[in-house]
Amino acid sequence: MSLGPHLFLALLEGTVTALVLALTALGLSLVFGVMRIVNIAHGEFFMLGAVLAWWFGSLVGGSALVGFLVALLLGPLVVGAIAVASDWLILRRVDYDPESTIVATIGLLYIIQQIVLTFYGGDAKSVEAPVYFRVSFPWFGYSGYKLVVAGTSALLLIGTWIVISRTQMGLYMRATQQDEEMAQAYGVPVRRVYALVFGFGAALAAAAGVLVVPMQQAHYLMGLDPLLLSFIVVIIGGLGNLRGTLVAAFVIGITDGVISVFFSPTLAKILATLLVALVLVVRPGGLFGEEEA
Amino acid sequence: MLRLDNVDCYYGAVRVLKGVSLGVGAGEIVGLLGRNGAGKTTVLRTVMGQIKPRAGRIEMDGNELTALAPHDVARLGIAYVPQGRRLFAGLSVEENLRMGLLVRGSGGDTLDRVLGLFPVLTERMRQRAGTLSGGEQQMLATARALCLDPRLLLLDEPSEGLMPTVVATLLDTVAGLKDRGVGVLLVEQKVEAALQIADRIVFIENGAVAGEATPEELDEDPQPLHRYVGIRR
Repeated sequence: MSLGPHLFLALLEGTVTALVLALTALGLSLVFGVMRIVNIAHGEFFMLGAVLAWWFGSLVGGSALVGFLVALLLGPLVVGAIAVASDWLILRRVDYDPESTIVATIGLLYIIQQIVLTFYGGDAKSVEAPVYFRVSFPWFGYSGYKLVVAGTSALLLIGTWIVISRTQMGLYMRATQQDEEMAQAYGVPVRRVYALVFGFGAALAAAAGVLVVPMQQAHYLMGLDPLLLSFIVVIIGGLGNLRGTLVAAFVIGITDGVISVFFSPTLAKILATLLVALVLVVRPGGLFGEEEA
Repeated sequence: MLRLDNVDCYYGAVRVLKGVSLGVGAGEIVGLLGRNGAGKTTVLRTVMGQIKPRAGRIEMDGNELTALAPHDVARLGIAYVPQGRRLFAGLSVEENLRMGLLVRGSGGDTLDRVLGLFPVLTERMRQRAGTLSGGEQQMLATARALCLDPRLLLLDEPSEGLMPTVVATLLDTVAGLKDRGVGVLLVEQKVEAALQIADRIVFIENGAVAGEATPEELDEDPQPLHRYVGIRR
């Protein structure tokens, strides 16, 4: 293959990565933005999504498509419910204190990991792709499922955007992010908003986990990578800044795709980490600053 | 309408309100005057439920406020315009007003009436609140409060940092609320502004109510102004 097709493949891979990453990172960014909480357990919600996808798949049996659709629907719901319960059992008890919640979510990370290890086991298990077709370009064939993943991620991102920018709940979320006390003075049940945002952020990560698992296998330690990448994206985009998060996910995703195809995936990760260091030195608030939602 | 009865508040171990009792009737404007740190803002914050009193009762139309969650206080028709405006700076003007409308499900007629009072805002609906000028921000803060169709308005330093013409507009608007039966509790550094529209002045000193007078009485005997606010006239 010559340079052109290579580049096209790289951009394609990069876009798929970017969209999944955006979905995962958006959840983290939302939770930080509204609740001022750094959720170290975010990657575990991703992992739970993947593991649930395997579980629903084996439970439903038969057609992989049905199992996948059930998982895509119920996985995020179950994980969201687990997150809401964690909010009520843990975060609320430490009064959402920024430092205590870091420690608390580290604890949550290990609890979730060990529960999954106990009941699901330490082996990586693969999940069959729900649809199997190849899209043939003139130079190479490309996995149709990856395009489905990209499309579904894009739809979920757009849906999230609409919820945040157009609904009353979204308005309450943004108002809480701006000024929690005044939001309360204007009738916003801030605690309930927190619980909902934590659940919603986890559900986004879980959806990403469900989508990714046919390409990756479900394993109880798989949450680490998405957590680190999400942090990279959220820091570059500006903590709590949703638009910045999306832009940064694309910067990281596409760079990752291009460098992985032309050089090596390891180099891509090294460069992403360097980029974070650079952003932190030059613009500590992230590329898109703090104030915008 | 609003009644505070022997309210005690603490910041940590420091007792900041000491048995404060005061009331605001429907259609009445009460000015709360006192030196910096006397506890004026604390009174307003306590009514809003942002500080829980350790003793005493706060009632709004017979509802005990101290038993409510902070987000339920506004639903009784209590609107708060805090010091420094505290707008949702990243939200648009329209969204700030919607925050007010949503509290009690006020409709478009409320919005029209409020925008009638502050026509400048009509041209700025899509602009971010944080990008407005100081005067416009104060108007928006007041408009946001009026959008919830309040029965009681808590105003903390509404004239702070504003040009005299804007202050006059705001005072007119507040005075106009009387006719609608809205009660106002006004904290103001600019004593003249408070005297101009208030029906009654309550002086607060070291976290306790120190005295009460009408503006007319203070015209005849300005002694309390000197004593509690440090103003001679």
